[in-house]
Amino acid sequence: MKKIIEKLQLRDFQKKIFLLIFRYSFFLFPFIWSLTFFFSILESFTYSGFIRKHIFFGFQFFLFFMILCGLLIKFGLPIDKKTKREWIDYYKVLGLLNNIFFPLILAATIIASAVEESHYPNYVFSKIHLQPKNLYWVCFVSFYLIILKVRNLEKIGFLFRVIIGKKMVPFLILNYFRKAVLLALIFWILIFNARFASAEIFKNLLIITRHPLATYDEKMRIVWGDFYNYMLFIKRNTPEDATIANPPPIPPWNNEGSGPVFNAFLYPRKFSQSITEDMNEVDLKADYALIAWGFYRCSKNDVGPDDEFCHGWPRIPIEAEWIIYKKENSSEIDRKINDIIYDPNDPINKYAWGLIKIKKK
Amino acid sequence: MFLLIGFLLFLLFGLLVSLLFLKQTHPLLRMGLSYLLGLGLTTIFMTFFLFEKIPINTLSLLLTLFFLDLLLFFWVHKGLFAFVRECQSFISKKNLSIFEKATVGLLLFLCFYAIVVSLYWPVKDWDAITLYDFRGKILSDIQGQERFMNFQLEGHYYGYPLLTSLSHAFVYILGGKNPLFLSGFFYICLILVFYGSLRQLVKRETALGATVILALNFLFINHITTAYTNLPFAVYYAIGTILLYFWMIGKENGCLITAGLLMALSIWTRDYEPFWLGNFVILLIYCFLKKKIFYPLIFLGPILSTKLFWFDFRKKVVDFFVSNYLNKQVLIGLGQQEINVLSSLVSFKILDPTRLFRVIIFLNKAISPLFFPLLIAFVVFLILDIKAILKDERKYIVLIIFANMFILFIGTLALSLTFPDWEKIPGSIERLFMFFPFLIIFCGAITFEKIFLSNKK
Repeated sequence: MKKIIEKLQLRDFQKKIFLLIFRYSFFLFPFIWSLTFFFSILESFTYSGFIRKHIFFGFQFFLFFMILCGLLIKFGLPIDKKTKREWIDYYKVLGLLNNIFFPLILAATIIASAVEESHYPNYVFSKIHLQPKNLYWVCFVSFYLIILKVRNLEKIGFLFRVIIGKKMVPFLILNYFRKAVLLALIFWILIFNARFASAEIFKNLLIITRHPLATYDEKMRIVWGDFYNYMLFIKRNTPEDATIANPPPIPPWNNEGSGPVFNAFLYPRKFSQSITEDMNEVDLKADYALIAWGFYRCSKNDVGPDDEFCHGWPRIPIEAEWIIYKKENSSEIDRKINDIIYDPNDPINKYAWGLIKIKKK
Repeated sequence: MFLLIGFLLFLLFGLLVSLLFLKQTHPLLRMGLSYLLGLGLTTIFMTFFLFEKIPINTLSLLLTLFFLDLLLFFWVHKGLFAFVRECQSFISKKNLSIFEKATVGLLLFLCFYAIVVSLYWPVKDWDAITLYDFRGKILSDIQGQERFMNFQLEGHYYGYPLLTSLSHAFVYILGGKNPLFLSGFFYICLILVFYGSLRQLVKRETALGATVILALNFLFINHITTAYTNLPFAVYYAIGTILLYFWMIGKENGCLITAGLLMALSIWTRDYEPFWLGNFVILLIYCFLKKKIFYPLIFLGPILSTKLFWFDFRKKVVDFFVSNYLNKQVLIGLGQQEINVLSSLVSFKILDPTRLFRVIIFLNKAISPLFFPLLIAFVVFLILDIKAILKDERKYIVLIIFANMFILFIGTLALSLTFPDWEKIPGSIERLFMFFPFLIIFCGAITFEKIFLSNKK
């Protein structure tokens, strides 16, 4: 290696620096790879950012360092035989272990992701304390070692071909270093993007394959949940020229009280609500009033757990021609009560969504 | 059926307009521009109909598009035939390597995915369903058009320009049920215009690799199904900027005209963020140095026309609401905020170091979750090749990126002074940032090629 360095006509300090970089990347790689692998597993069983929280440098820092070291030893100058002999056993052991673990990790990732997608977000974590999304990183770290072990890398593609060239061109070391950094960055961006993108693509394709013939209403239910049922319920039970009193647009009525949301689902019906955001105010001149427990969480001063006392609307008694209540997870009527005074303290109105036909005097 | 005819007619319209201005360009870039210009300019003449109280219906839409196509066809039919020949030779002469086949396969899969998901999902996300698509539905019938023009909707609905809503209305008027596929096509256009423009400067494999990196960006993929204004804005704005750059590096004057048109259409999509000012300032400096004094006017013409037209309309809306309701609530989003922003910028509050620091922290929090590696790569690319960048034409695109970043920073700073909950909306900043990856990867790909392949051409 020293001969090659001498050919490159570098200054003494440059020679020393680059010799050190290549030499130490060869020593460092098994350690940095093991460390990155361990950290990726650790974050899979804890949460993203766990490493950053405890040792200041995030997992991505180690990942980047690992990619860089890998590229340097693969495409850098040849290491002298003595050094290689001393260290090659570490590489062999790592490679062997990795070859055994990689298929297992890959299978675990695919299964965990499929289970997660087929249930609900965080399902796997709630059962076995494992983050399927973070397992992608474990796969990548493991796969990276396999890629580095492939002998004729240049056949894989363009990125490798451009750095190696048709022959081992005696590039300047500086060029090697610069190219290794750039390639590491490109890999990083690609993996970073592919991770998020594949999750999104996978999620959408899973929904499509599961519900290929879903109707408009079914698709909207997937996105808006039971709130969409509530909007359908209101739509079916009010005429188009109705005026409907709704709660103010504050938590927990971010949707029920929102004019734009109301219009999006119920137009041309008109809505009427308190301009001052007073939750005790109901426009009794309206034809109808919503009964809305509130889909969002709410609490005093926006902190702390969900507070039941800030849920439930209307908050004043209302004389009604009839009241209808919605079935849970359906847009059907659960029950209808004629000629009644709506009482906000009646237990029937707890967790209830419904509609009041206001009695005109 | 009508929708398919309308779709083909506006594609042809866009293609003919692009042939009118751009004589020589990559066929894929032209295909992407056909959709972008076709859809954008169709909404422009729909706006003209709306304001002139001409009913917008199937007949008026199809007839207008047909006659515009006919008119332009007589004008540029030679270019059209040349384009067909270009496409034939583009398809036939390929001898792809394994890497190229893999990237083309991945890109085709992503395009296929975009079409499938955008045909599957209805318009479903909050802003889309409550504003853009709602306006589209209102504008799709004659009574709705009258209600809109007589200011009978809440003030909220007059806040954003009309490109997305009118494009949805276009679909509804021609009998379509779900306009989300337009977003899918915006994504495909993103791929086409990026590859088509980059390919003119770098080798095929570099262009393909860079296109894959861009196309795999989560935000772009996510916005196929959201139908917000951000994806169309990002595509219009980014390709407008690239065409401006093309003109700066010596390509035909048509690039500058098309860049101006695309910038105007980006403003017609969303007009709050004055990013175009960054491009304009760089253009002014360039023209001043090169002694091309009148060229900035070509670029500025379409932009100012759109801006002033929309400003005038919103002024009328504000006057109407103030004189009829005197209700401050309805003024939100009708220009009041912009006045607040301008007045805050001229105050000394912007020099407060604590606030500056908070804005930097906020921007970092908003942008880094999805773009951190990209930004790091951009900085490293710059550092590693700064001497060469300063010497060659890449300095213009780098300057444009920095100018846009500066505007993003100043805009956020102004927002922090006028909007109390500014720190609660990092998602908006993230979405605003969408066009940066286009420009950064474009610049990065050219740099990559210069570093890696300079000795292999």
